[in-house]
Amino acid sequence: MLSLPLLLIVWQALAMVFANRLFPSPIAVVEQMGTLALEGRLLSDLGKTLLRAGAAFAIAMVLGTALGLVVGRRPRVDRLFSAWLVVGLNLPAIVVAIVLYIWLGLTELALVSAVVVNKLPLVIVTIREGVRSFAPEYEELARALRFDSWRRFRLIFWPQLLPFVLAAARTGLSLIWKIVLVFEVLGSDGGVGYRVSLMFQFFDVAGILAYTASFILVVLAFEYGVLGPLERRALRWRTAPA
Amino acid sequence: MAHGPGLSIAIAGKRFAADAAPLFAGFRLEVAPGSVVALLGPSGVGKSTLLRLVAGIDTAFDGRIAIDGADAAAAPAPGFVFQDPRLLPWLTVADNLRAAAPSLGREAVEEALARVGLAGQGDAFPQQLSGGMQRRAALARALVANPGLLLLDEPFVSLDAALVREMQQLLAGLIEAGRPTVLLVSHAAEDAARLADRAVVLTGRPVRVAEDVALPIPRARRSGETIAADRARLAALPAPTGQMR
Repeated sequence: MLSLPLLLIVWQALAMVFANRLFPSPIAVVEQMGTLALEGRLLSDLGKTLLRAGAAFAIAMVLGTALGLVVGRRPRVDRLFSAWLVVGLNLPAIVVAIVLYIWLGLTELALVSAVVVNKLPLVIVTIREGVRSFAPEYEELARALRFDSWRRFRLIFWPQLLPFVLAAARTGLSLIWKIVLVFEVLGSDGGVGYRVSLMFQFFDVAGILAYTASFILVVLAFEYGVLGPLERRALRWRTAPA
Repeated sequence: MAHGPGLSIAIAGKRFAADAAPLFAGFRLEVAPGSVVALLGPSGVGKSTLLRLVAGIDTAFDGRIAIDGADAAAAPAPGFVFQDPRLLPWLTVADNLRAAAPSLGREAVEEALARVGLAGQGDAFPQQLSGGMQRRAALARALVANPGLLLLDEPFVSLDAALVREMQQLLAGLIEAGRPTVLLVSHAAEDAARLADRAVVLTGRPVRVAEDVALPIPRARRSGETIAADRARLAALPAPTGQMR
């Protein structure tokens, strides 16, 4: 509870000590956020970046979960593609973006695809580890109770997979929005990254921090408003009082 | 009145690895409808494997296991109680029962739980129950899955003596009430002496029936003395049962 206010207090204190245009206080940044939201393009830029990050996030999660299930359940497929995953995990994001921009042009498709390509291996590996941790005794129970594929997935696989899906979602979101910003700097017609790159040319640190803080607020809202409650509800059996 | 199905077990061959000695070869066992058969024998002899074959969990064998004439794997799900409760921890107790029998309504779930002494526990998660209550919930799940055929794999293992007695009494009552066909795997002669109509002692590799003992006194009429006598009789069977209690 005190963590965030403490950060703001430390920031404010440092800004007062090093009073400089290039080190704005949190109050100045909040004021700038208000100005940019009302008079500038903060909201439309935020919307663009959110749309890109959201699309990339959804595609990477759905595709990564499906592929993670396959490689986790099929050792042969895992052996065949494990090197691909290592390559994917170590591909520099910037290289993927540049190559896709060259191939597909400075388009939304190129940007979202580049983010998906960067995020996908991490989701696959996380889900694969989740599948590997499945308890075989529940599989035996499913066979004894004659579960069909759907019930096996819903009652046996999914509950065991969910903590890994949430972990992948959490790390995915934090990774994706950063990558989106970098790619927007590299080439796009709007969005938080694009605007930050323009502000960089004017050393507009208050503006840069206002944009960054806005996006962080959205991420925090998603974490505490969506992911957190979802996780508490789905995993309530773990914390049910004995 | 017989309620449960008859079992006809004929296993021509079962091995876990191609180059391993067969666990079963030319094994046959007939189980009458509505009878309680205890499968006794030392640890590792193949009792649990036999139960999994009958349950249709393991289908990798040569031969045929018929449940009222149908292949085991194609027959309706049995009521299976594992050595551990094996309740799905992310489901409530009621939902664990519904996982085995999706059409169960709320009242039927409550009734099934009440039968094993768990009335009012449907909304609890398994981890909120004691070990004994979890065992009873597992028994309730087996009963809703298939009250006619119960396959019990060491259902009393790792329970303390008081809980074992409680579970045995509960099971004896359910057997008398429903007349299911029961295969009870155990390495304890006392389980057979208390619950079974027949005790089959397994031995060797490949597994063979070393002894097939009838326990003709009806369960309801068994006294402490008759149980002790049957227990001693079963425990005194020749070498293969040496590890039985």
